[in-house]
Amino acid sequence: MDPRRFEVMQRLNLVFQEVFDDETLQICDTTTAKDIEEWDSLEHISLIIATEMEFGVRLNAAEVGRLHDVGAMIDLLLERLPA
Amino acid sequence: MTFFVFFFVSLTLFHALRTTGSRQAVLLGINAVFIGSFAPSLISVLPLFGFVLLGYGLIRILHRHPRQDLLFCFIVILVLLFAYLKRYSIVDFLPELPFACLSIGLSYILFRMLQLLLDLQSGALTSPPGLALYLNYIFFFLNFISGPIQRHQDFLAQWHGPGLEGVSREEIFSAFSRILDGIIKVSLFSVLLLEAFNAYEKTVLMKIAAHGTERFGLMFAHGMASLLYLLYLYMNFSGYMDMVIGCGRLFGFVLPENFNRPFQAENFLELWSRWHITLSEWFKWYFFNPLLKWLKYRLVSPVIGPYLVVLCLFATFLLLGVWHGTTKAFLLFGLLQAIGTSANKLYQLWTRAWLGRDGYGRLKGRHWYRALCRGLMFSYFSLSLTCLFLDAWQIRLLVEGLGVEGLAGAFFGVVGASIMLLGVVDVVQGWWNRRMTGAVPLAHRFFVGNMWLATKVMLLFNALWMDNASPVFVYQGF
Repeated sequence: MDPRRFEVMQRLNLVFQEVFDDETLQICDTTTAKDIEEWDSLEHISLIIATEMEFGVRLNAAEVGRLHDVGAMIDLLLERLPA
Repeated sequence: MTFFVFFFVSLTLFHALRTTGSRQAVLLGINAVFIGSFAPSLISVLPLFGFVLLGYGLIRILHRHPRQDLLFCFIVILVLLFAYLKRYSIVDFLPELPFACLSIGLSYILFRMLQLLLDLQSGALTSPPGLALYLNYIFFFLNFISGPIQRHQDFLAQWHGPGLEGVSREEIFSAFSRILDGIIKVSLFSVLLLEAFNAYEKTVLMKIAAHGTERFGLMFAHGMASLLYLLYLYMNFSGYMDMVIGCGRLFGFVLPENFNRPFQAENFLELWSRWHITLSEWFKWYFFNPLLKWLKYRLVSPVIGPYLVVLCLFATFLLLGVWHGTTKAFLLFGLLQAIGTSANKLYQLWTRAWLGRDGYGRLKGRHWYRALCRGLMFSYFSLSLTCLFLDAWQIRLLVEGLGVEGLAGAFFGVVGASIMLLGVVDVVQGWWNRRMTGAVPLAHRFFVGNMWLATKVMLLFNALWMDNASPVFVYQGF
């Protein structure tokens, strides 16, 4: 895996662990809301806010709407973070 | 019947044309005829049309000057005008228009205009639509009266799609079948449920007017009236949705679903993600999410954090309830939805903290617990609907007549009835699913499928035989 992508995934994993209060949680590109019981539409926005805070970016409504799995979140963060 | 004649003429005209421009023009005409059919006079349409054109002007201005303060001002202007045209009590001090004003579909128009403004400002929409497309979006006859609330992006995307040419034979068959389902739900089931509801509502009104002391009778009548009203509302509204979604598919449009088996919900929060979905999604996108984001950035605390969701749920569902109407009873309806959702979230937070993740997961997996939760959810929701069929004064008399014991009795009575009713629905649904799965021989499936079709035709004849006046769509009034 690309080292930059790997680093983003590691940081994002910590965000997931904190939001869903589960230190054993391990995410991958294909992880979706179906894989995490607490990941409902209400927690989704908490997850987005925590991600924004961790990575120092602001996501608009259209971008948030596209985030259907972890892979899409990482792709978007890689687009928005400075190289 | 008139609607279906109008619909099939419109459908033929629409598909006789091939270019997007000519189809947009003919759809404008169809929409104008449809809305005109509700107008008592030409002048009565003018305020509505002016409101929509003003909205378009504001959208264009915001596109040129994307400023947060402008967005705020434009939202305030539109909401105040909406409140004036709908005659909300907060603008009672203002003089009324000297003529009757058409206000049908106004709430849904407001949602669409606000969505365009908010999406433009957030960048979710890069440019405003042209006037013809805007008018077709706002006045689209299939979702004009009672939704579903479709996002502009989804509506726009369909003009560039394959249209009806891309719809398969199975989809066309399924669209007609869906329309048939809708007609049966609205013209037969909802009419029968309404008749039963009316009988119990009459009993409730007589008993509260008499200030009688027969608490059990009032409790039973109120419980039955609430339960029947919920079923009636579901049949009426979901039947209407079946019709418009089916009709939309024949035009080549995909309209969003508004119901997803709401009575399968296991808690009140889940209910609202399955009931009137496009309304709750709209409030989630354009009110709940921005409010929660705004609060979370200002109150960064691991202790307060989870409770901000509870607070935002309360505010969102209060507003969502108030949207249903202009009177005190609707304010109470909003308050009950707000209490229901926020209490549900608090319960989830506390129970998870108390039992731990695994313990809570095990509890949620138990049959008795799930049945109880569904019963509680069903009962709370149906009793809260009292606000939609009684006014504030009648509700006060009802509460005085029932007292705390009577209210609790009605609540738990409906819980018990709901658990039994939903249990029966589950058994029937399980049987149906087993009949229609691949493991069952094709001949059996064919037999059951045709039996069901024959039943629907029989029910349709029943509906036609009943000699009802055109059934009313409940949500038309909201």
